[in-house]
Amino acid sequence: MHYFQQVKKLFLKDLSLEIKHFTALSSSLLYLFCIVFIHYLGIEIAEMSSNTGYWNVQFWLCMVLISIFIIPKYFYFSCKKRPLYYFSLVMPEIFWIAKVLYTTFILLLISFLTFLIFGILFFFPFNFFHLPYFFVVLLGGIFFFVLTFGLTSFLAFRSRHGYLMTAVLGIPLVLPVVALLFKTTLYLMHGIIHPQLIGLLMGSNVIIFFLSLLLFPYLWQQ
Amino acid sequence: MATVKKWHYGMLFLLLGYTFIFGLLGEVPQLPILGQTIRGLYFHVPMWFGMVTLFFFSFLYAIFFLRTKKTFWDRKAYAFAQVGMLYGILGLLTGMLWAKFTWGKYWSGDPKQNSAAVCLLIYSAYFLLRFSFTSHIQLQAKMNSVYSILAFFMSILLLFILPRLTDSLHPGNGGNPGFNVYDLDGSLRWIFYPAIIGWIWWGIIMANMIHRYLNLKHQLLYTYEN
Repeated sequence: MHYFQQVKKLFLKDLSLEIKHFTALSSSLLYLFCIVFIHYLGIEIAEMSSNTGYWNVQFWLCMVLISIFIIPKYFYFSCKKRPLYYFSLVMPEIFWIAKVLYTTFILLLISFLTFLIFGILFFFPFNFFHLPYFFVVLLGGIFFFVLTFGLTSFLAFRSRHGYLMTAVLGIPLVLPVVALLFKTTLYLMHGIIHPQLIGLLMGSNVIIFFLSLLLFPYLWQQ
Repeated sequence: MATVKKWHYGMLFLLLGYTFIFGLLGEVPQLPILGQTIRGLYFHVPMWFGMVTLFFFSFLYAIFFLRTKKTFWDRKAYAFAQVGMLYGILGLLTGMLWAKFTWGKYWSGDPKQNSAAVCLLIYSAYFLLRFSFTSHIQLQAKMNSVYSILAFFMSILLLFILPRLTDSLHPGNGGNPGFNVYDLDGSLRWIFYPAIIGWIWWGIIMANMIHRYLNLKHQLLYTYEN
């Protein structure tokens, strides 16, 4: 009975803290809603491509979850103390570009591995569609993920909830591009190259790259 | 601090009163499927015009903050984003009501509906970021301004570019005619244009009021802390 009382006290303490700091709960609610929405967008595309299989949707969902997990490792956990030393040596933009390029390289290796595993498990023929174009799209998607999640890592580092906020802030920004990636790969699987969609993907990459160059100096200075 | 002039209220009363009375009671062209739902033009479309305008102002004030480092501008950006969010939610709800009677379902996953919902998700992340700072006002303002600029660019991509590339059932998209085709005798635009001006004006005045409230709150907190 004594232990039961203790458990009850601790449970009620957590509940009252949750109500007091409602932002923690509401941020997880937003994250939940975004994840559900990504799946909702994916199911729409999957219904359209029932005759070719919908591994493309699953591949991009995997890539989003992997990049949420991996990218903060290179940005969030690297902005604790050592950057102060780097910032005394180089301009913040240079630091940012180097960091982004390195993370893109790592994530590209991981995505190739993911692609290979998908190929083995799903038995899809690799020459089914325009493979070089698929790699261009892959590079575009990954570069965008790295830029947005990198920026939101630096934003989250300053906020109260820390690491959690990276995904919460990043996923809504990534959502439209994920929808674009679903659509582009859907067209590629049917053997159609949609130049407008690929151009829009590249354009959004260029815009977010220059924006991040402009905004990053405001993020690191205290 | 300048208060809202009296004639602003008068003009707003006239414009929105005109919109509500003639928008709900006036004659509209009778068309198949659309029927009476064409009145949504006076309430649904101005919401999106208003939302984009308010978010644009919010974006501008975020830039002003980053240039001047005065939190006054950040509070202004926050106030405009708040009213823009309200307009977005109202626009989504009125659109869903319209869709129930014309498309058959409240939510049918149309590209336009999806991108509007994602736009609201992005701005709710902006508010969350705002609430997750407590003490450091300058830092909070800086982080929020950066996120606001990113959010505005993504919402432009969402609302204006993405839906144009895909087929949509929404009027004015994917080969569907906009309202110009339904407006045979030009009676719609006599209420539509005043409605747009009225709703945007109302939003700006409301945002300025919220900004004044935020400024007073900030001054009070600042004097108590020191």
